[in-house]
Amino acid sequence: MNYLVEMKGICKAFSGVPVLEDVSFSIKPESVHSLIGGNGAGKSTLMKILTGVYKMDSGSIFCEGGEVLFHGPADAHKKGIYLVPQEPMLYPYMTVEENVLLGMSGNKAELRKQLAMLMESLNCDFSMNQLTGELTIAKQQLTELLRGLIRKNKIIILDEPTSALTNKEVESLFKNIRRLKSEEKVGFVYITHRMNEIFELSDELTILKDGKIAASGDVKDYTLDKVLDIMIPDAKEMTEIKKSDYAGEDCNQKILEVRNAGGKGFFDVSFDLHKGEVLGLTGVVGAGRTEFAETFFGLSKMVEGEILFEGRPFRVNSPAEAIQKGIAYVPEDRRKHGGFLNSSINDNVISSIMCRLSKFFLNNRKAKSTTLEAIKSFSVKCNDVDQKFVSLSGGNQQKVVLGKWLATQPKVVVLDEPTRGIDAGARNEIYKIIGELSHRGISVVVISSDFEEIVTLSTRVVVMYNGKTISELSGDKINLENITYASFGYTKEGVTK
Amino acid sequence: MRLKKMLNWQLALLGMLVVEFAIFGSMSPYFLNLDNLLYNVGDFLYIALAALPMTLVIITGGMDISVGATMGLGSIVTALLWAKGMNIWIAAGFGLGSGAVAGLLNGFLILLTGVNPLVITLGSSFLISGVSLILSGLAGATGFEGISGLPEQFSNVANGYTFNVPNPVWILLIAAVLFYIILHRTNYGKKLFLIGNNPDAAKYSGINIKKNIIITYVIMGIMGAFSGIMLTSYFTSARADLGGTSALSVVTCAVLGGASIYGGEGSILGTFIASLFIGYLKYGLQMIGVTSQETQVFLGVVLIAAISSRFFWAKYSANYRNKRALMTALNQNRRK
Amino acid sequence: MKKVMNLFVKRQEIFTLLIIFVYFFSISAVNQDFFQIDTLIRILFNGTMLFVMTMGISAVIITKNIDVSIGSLMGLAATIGGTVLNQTGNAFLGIGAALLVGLAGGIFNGIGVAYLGVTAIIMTLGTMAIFRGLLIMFTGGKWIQNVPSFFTDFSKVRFLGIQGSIWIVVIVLIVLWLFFSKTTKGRYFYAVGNNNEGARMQGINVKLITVSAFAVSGLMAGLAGVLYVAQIGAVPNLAGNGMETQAIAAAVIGGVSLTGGSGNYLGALLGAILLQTINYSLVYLKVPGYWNNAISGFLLLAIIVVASLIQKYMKREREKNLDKQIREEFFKTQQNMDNAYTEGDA
Repeated sequence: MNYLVEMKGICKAFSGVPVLEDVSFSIKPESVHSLIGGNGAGKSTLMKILTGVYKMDSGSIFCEGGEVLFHGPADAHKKGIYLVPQEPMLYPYMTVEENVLLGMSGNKAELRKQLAMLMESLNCDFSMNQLTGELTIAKQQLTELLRGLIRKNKIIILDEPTSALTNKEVESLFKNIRRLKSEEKVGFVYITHRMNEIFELSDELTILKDGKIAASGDVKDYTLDKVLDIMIPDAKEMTEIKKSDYAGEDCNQKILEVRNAGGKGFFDVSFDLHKGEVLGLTGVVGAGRTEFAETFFGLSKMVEGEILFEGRPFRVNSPAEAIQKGIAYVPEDRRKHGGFLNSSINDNVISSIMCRLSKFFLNNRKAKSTTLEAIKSFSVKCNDVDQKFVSLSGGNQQKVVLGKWLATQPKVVVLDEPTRGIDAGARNEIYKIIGELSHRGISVVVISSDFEEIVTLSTRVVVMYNGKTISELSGDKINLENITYASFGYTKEGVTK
Repeated sequence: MRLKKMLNWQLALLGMLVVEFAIFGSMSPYFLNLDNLLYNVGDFLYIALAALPMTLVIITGGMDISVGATMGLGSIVTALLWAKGMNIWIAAGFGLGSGAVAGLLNGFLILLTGVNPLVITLGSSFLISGVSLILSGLAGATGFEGISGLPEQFSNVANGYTFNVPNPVWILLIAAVLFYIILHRTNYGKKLFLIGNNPDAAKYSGINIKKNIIITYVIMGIMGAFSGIMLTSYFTSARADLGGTSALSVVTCAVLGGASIYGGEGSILGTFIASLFIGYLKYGLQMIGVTSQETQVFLGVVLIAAISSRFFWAKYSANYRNKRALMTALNQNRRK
Repeated sequence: MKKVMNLFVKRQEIFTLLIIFVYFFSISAVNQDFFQIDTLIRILFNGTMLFVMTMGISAVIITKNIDVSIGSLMGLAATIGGTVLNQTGNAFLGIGAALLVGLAGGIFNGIGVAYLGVTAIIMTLGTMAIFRGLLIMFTGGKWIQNVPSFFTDFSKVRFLGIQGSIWIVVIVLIVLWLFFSKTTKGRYFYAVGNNNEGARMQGINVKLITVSAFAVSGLMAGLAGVLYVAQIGAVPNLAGNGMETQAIAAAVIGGVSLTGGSGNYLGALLGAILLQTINYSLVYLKVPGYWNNAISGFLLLAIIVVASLIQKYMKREREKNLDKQIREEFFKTQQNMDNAYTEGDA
């Protein structure tokens, strides 16, 4: 079997946390090999090691039989290995042409012609003379794809290439992949979350879980159920989660009334939130959910519409004010906005409530007891309160973040993608925590792109599309089909305008 | 865990201090004389006093190299007002106020423009020193001449003794304790660490970043002016260029003391020990005949070496930790 | 108004040129004698050191770093070059020595930043003190004086009515412009400044580029040292002190953004010309020397504030534009779905 590349026994750790443990991975020519796994499973890391961005801590890489050691991406490029990254890493002040062609040898005019042809085959409706800093994320993603497809590569790695693309663009991409596969015998590695793409496109698959290989083989030996089962063996447990059951006297009280709210990234949002309710706010990426949440939380200004909180007009100019009023917002990106990585667990937990614990001076005793309580109630696995936040697993990190927000004694908690990148066990625990919250009378808004999760958790669902709320579902109307349709703009009455 | 790393570094600093004393002590008997050592604090008091608030600034991820200029400003404003007839103590109050204004300017510009604090304070350094020069020109002390003849009571502050110990020692100790409390025992101090660690997360946590940053630069400005006033008291004369090239020494003290240039890390105790180290380094070098320019070269090398060794230390300890973690993980896997 | 802003961002050099003219004419209005070709030539002649250093530091700023040691480095280069010149009487040795010192200093900075893990701020803060200290140690506190006249004459020799040193500046501009705009390696510098990690992932040797940028800056500081000796004929201990501030200010006003990745050398040169015009006018109008610092500092801050406010405004406009684009895109797909729905619906 002549492999283009064989990775054997790859181990890698960051900040004392193992990310890849003895992983082996091979790529054949003229094939598409899908790499699957939850966030934090190690897929991107493994590929970054293959392209020389990272160095493995142990293990070896063989290229067409001979062992190689990459000191940097340039070495990998020389061997014909190229990675199209998940997030665009373009040069914002340079043109598309320059971003794609920089460093390529050959006749400039020829290259430009090739680029034009490639852009057409990918359905790019932007000019190669535009500055990439002025493009939308989707167009930037396409530009990254252009970079990957224009060079003569033996192996092209695509890391979540379709997350921002439309169906038409995805089709064009697949066409190009198939063409390169058969014409140039390119070996593709395709990293994705979308199961349908895996079965449509790939020849082989490998499943990574917690940095270890969970399964690997030909696609025809697997079914969707089998794959899901390997990835989330506790999936069945999920359906046993009971929905929230806040049965207080005021359970019909409207704690929040949003009327035609508009601001940065959303245009017309309306919905009600009742006390103790778990409201699922969903839609596709770009629907405007996070944008609304951030404005609600005081990070940007609301430009239109009004919000009533407990019957009174609600207007905040900063997160601090929102927290005062009893709003908690747990942001989407744990590492960027949610946690202080190099601070201790204790510091993370008290970061929003310091002024409540004591006026001016730190009250270490109260702080510690608050943290210990949070650790206990959420069963956070850690050694002591002074342990660094970054050394915890993803699930435990998220629990600490939740603990921090609950310490602010909120009336409304907005959770943005709370279980992204978290393993199944921790996921269930978080679901239980959400149930607990609603039981106590706290209203929860769960923003999630995982429709299954929304169905599992919510007592009511609001679907956003194109910056507007277009559908409200409750009771037995909450199911995958309705939600999926609504998220693409279809409602019962017809297409939304 | 962070506590342990800090403690390690401070112990290392203490060790370096001991070694330094041993080396200089062996070169010259005068060095280890306790009276001399205590007296000498007056020489580097101004650096140490400025290094304490600089630690706060660096922890927030910022930088202030206009500190030298602020020293001169505080000095000149105080002396100028006194020369025009104001009571020296009230004049000193205004001197501190001028430092606060300088700090306000820095903080405000940094927040408004979002430009690297180094560049902003580079510019403000010139502006402030320029203002000092203009003011001293107005006082009739042209260019770099000073204003002298300040009242004895005033010069006693830096030159006098209390309980047989030179005042500068007391001033430094009080300042160190004060800043220790501010940084490590107040909500404000904790917020600085959080802001430096992750400004985005701090924003989302409801921390008022703008307010806290401005306060920090104002404190820096006030202490800078205070340092300058102490220098004025020590030399019994005020000059616009009193602070001179002190920015380098001040930053070195804070960074050597454990403050990370990327923000989120720092220690008053570390800065304190580092200030002693740097202060006595200058003293010792001077004693063995090294010129002040050669000392500057030395300091530059110390600064670069300090940061570089932290970098390599972090890299190698991370490598070590990673290898350990992987071994544990692989062993666990094999057992399963 | 928006079109004007757009033009400003894309071609800041035009604005700089405009301001130069406006300033020149305003000063001339105050003092008639100012308004002569000779004034212009004097401005250019006196500013050659600043021009060269501004172009040098632009390379560093473009790669998203900073260098505050160039003033001291220039002094050191001038000192050593001047000494070699005085002792050997050989112009080439003297020039070579100065350029070598500058290059070595720059490379030292670059290595510290790229390989030793020291951020540019700290590194160049340290070397600023080291270079200045070395300078004073080298001369024992004395100035370099009595530079042979053949050397100083050379800088004043005129081709087509313009002094030799000004021509040198022009040559430097052309060389730098050609390299950084037209060659692939030159464009790598911009790439690194635009997106450091992205450039690395594209296979660009970011560390080498970083060192090279500092090397250019150092070499230019060395060249400035040569010009200093040639034009002034003596090297005081504090030569170059404060020039880093001016050079940075000049680069910023010339369109070299402190956030890296943009700007060009023509703009940097124009920025330096503007600053030099202001400097010269202050002397001409007999503003007392001790106002210089205040004015320098104020100018730098004012320039930075204005430039960053404009950038912020542009960014906000761009986001509004993107918002609009996204809305339009969605409405387009909406329309398609509409049509498909109504057409295909039974």
